[in-house]
Amino acid sequence: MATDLELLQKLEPNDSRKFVHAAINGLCEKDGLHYEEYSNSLSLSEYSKLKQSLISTIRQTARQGTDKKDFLDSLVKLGAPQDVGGVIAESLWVRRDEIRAQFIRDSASFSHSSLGDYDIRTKLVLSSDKLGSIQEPLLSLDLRLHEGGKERVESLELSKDELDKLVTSLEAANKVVLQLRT
Amino acid sequence: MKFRFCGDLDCPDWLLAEISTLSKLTSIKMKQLCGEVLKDLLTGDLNYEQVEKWTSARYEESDIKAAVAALAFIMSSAAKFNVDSDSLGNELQQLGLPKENVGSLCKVYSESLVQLQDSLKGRSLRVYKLDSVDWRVDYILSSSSLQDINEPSVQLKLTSTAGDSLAFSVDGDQFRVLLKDLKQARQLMENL
Repeated sequence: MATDLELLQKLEPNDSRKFVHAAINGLCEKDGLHYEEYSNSLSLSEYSKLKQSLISTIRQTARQGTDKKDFLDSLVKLGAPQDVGGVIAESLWVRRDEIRAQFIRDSASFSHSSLGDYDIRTKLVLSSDKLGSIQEPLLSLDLRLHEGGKERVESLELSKDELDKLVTSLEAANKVVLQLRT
Repeated sequence: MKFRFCGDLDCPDWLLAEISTLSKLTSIKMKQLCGEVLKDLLTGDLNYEQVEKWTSARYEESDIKAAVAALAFIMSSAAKFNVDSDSLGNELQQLGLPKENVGSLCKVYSESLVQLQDSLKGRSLRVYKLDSVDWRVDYILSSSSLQDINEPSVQLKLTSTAGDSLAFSVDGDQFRVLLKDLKQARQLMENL
């Protein structure tokens, strides 16, 4: 598998660095690799082989390593050529925090749905068919939940009392989170 | 003519027609009936036998229905447009309802205006109402994607009054940001 990494040498030095970073982007749920950008130097089958082995190598290396030398050692152990290993290790080192945060997110979201992103909107309800003048603030909370690779948006609407209830509960949980950190 | 309790619009024709029906009641019966209709507006619980007993001496069955509908409209519409009981009394007298009956209605209305408005507010359209929040804090030691994690993760379950529940997990950092945003939003709502 790791010998497929030699294909990285077929790219210009700048391109190979870009390739590794694009692969990391893909891992971190950002815009990942696109074949068109490398179609001059790699055939489609070479591209897929390289992409696959690079991503699995990154996963294996980043799972354990904590410093640059560890990264390089384990890359060489996996059979990557020295110079290719250097490029990958450097990219991994530069983006270690981002990768670690993503892996923590991945680990936290194994079992069921997990929170991807959220949007908050406060609004003032002026009037309804039941009452002419309400003047009550409401909070719209849109939760984007990831569930089995799909994204689902759930909209909640909270009055001030309900928001108080939610914040009080979350604060209790936060206290525990902070205790764990210290 | 425009009436405040109709939202500064003309009084509906059907209500004009039923004013004479309401005029047939004595002021005591009127008060009892108003109390019952108000209870129906607040709790959705109308005691049909009681209403029939009070009114059957003077009313046909269709009159009873019309009187209940008219009183429900007058009180809920006046509460909707926040009309005080004196103005409501004046307007009803202009429509031709006898003074004693107006007095009975206004007494019941003024005693429970705040309650009625609260109930109308509570029944206004809401997309979602939160009922309860359950949470659990986990501590992730290690996983297949990262050997050494040692980070908390929070499981949340939000249940709406309709009974739908929404369960999801949030990692520690995101949880802190979410809490901070929610607190900021609460501050904003308090300042309104």
